[in-house]
Amino acid sequence: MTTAMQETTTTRRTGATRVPGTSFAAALEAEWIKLRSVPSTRWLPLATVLSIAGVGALVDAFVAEGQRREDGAEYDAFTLVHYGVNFGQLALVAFAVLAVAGEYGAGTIRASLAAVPDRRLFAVAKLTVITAVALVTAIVSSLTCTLTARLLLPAGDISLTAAATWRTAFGQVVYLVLLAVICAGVTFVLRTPMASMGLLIPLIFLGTAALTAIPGVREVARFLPDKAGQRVMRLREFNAYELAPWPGVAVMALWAIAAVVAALTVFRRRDV
Amino acid sequence: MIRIRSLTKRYGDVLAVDDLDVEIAAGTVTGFLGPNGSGKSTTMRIALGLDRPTSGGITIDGRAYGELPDPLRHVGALLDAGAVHRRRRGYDHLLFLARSNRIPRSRVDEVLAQVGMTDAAHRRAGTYSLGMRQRLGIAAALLGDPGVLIFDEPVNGLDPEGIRWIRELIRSLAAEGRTVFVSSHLMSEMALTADHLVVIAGGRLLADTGLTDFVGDGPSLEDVYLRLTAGHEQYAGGGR
Repeated sequence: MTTAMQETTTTRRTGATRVPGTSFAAALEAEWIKLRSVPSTRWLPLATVLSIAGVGALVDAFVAEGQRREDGAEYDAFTLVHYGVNFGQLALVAFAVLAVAGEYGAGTIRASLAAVPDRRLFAVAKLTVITAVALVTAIVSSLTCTLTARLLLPAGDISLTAAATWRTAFGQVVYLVLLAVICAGVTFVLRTPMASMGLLIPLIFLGTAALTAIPGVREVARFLPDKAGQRVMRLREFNAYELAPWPGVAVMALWAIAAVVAALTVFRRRDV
Repeated sequence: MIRIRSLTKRYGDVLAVDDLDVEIAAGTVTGFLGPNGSGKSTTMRIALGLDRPTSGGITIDGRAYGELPDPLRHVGALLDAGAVHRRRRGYDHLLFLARSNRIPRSRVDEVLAQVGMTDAAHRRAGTYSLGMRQRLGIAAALLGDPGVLIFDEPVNGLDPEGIRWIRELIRSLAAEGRTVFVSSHLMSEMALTADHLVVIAGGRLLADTGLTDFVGDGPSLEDVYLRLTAGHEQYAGGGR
């Protein structure tokens, strides 16, 4: 999606009087400086990796054997490999939300937009840098989960030459990146951390587990972004109402596209 | 030069700026006066492309703000001194603004020295006094060495030494041929700083004249201003 956004910008800028691309590069640099100059957005990517990989390692080391006995033929080691995502994603959600909301707390957005008045360029630059940081975070996190699982899980649970290992590892990367994009897009619309977290946290952490247990609701709840996107990290479904792995990713990607479209639409029209 | 042409801004039912026509010339300090809610801040936000006009518009050196390449090199603005992330160092606030307009990093150190914030710049902005935030905001306005400067209430929170410093800075910027557009509530300060006055109330132009002509035979700028704007105190516009 990042590539698609960049292409849109480049195409549009070519027709402008400015040298194509250079303004966008400057806007990207400014957004990068913003992220690394505030403690929260500077450290939350690291906190994301540590909590996802840390919880994953604990589960690999202490839960795997019992789980295998309990599940028997149903046992899916990848549920454990990527288990830390359930917790660590909170740090990534906070990162994406604060990366956008940080503009609004004190009103920095006015200085920012006076410097980069092209709203679409500004929003695309910010979303690009957030997405890039989320991508690097997710790759490091997923590789760490996969490699520590190989060391900690009983032999035979995970093989580094098996396609399933790398499908689920890729799945964690895609899930986390799409999650960050959704959170950033929502925050562009809602502007405050309170409003964004208030919407996103129940959606991602509280509601979905309960919703998937209720007949009639679960047929709809499976299309929620986290439910749809998490399936690709496992080999087996939790229940019959889940979407298949790749359709699930596609549904979550549609949520991310919707969030970006909403963000760009609202942000371009609004007075600051 | 700043040209305000048939500018109208409506927030729902409220008319914040009503068909305003003014030109602000280069090489002078133009004071922008009016009661609270008269439309001053709205006008300044529109000049910077932050708010959209309902009709009409503002051009800077003949171009809309959004059409200026690297706008900080053309226009420097101090709108709200508090608008700095509390957890970000003053230096980094200036650095991201500079780099977004391809202004070299060395310029950040120059403007920090100019406003006397070299040491404080490496502390987080949340620890700054209002006067220090004001100085940081002025440093931001000077980053691109712009030909046009827009200051909204620049003396807010400054101590007497700071007030004299900003007055002399504003005078020297105009003496260098720049366009300087300054709003203030402090009439005594305006009387010392401005060459020219633009007075609005209820979003409409009341006066656009030289300082000496405006005061005329009246006892003081304050007296003439209060007589002119009597009955216009209302809270119509944004005032954010």
